[in-house]
Amino acid sequence: MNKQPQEDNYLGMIVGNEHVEDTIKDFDARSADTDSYNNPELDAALRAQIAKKRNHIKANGILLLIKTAGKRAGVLLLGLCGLFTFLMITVEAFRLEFYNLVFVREDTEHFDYGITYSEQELKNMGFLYLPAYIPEEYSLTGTVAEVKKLTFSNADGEQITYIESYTYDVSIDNESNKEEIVIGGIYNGYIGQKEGKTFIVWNQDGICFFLTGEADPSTLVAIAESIKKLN
Amino acid sequence: MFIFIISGSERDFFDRLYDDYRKPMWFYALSIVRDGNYANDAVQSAFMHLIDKHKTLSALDSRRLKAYIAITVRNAAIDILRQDKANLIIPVEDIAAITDTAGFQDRTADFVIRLENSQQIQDALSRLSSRHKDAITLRYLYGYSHADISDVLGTTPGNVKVMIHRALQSLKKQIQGDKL
Repeated sequence: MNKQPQEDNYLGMIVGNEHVEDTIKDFDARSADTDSYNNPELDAALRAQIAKKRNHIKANGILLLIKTAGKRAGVLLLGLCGLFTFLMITVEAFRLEFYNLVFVREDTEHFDYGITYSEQELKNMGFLYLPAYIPEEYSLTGTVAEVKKLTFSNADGEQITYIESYTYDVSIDNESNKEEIVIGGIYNGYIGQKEGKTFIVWNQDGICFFLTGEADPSTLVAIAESIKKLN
Repeated sequence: MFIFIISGSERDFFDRLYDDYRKPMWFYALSIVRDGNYANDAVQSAFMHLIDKHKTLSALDSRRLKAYIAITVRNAAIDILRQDKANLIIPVEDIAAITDTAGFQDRTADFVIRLENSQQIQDALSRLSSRHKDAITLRYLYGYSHADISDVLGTTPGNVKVMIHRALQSLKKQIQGDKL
């Protein structure tokens, strides 16, 4: 422990207290007669000093307010940016969730003709496209996943066959009665008759689609135009 | 809005300083410089210092505030005289040399008891100049830094430090003499 500063402190306090008393006595003694004071020049100078000091304090106060407000505004702006970002993310997530809930069946894909595939099943089967429309009297009677083939049949035994093929070209013999057709106003193909059945073959997104059946051509065209990409 | 910027205590301090102390300050300065214009200059200089320190001075009790004002005015008055070479006056008490002494080796407790019991402490104090006592008072009673004290005394912080050290050493020598 340093003894010297402690001693100085004690001594300084004693000197200080003594000196304060002496100074006050001296001050009072030398300024006892203030009644004779008449010094407007000094009074004006001192008032000017006080006014200047007050203005200085005001200016500093305003500067301090501006600085404080600036800092607060900055923090507020940063907070608002963070809040808006959070809200945007949240709202977008909510919107997607809501959209998926109302408009999209995320987990399963269901068709009126009685086929329901889970997302995983669709992936496993590789069906990327399916007709959304099948006439009511037809029902699904067979699937061949390997060649992405669906067969629909009605009560009369009439069938509609749908084939989606990446690798198989569909052969159409020259003798067939066929004419060019544009599916959905976009995809070029052919529509024709063979052995009492209507067939439509067209290329869509690099995939060859084949549709045939005993239904009338307009029905098959409607089916072709309802082809929907699933994933 | 400005009402909130200037607090009531600051307004009170400025008014109190002007109303209660400008007259005694002027007479006190006049008693030192013996000239009305010099007294005006000394009071204005002291007043400027006092309002600059309004935040710390507002917290002082009236006794210490009065002593601080007196010390400030006295030193401002002495500075005014020093600046005027034609009227240069060096108080005898400021000329008195205070020599360094050897370190004081006794225990602190004994030291304090001797301080309190010393009959010659008044004599020891009377040998110190007002300027030295001002420095010690502002340092140990008011707790001001060497830089703050140098503002009041019109000197450098280094000078203040030396002044305080020498004055305390001189006092210790006196007290040690009492013991012997």
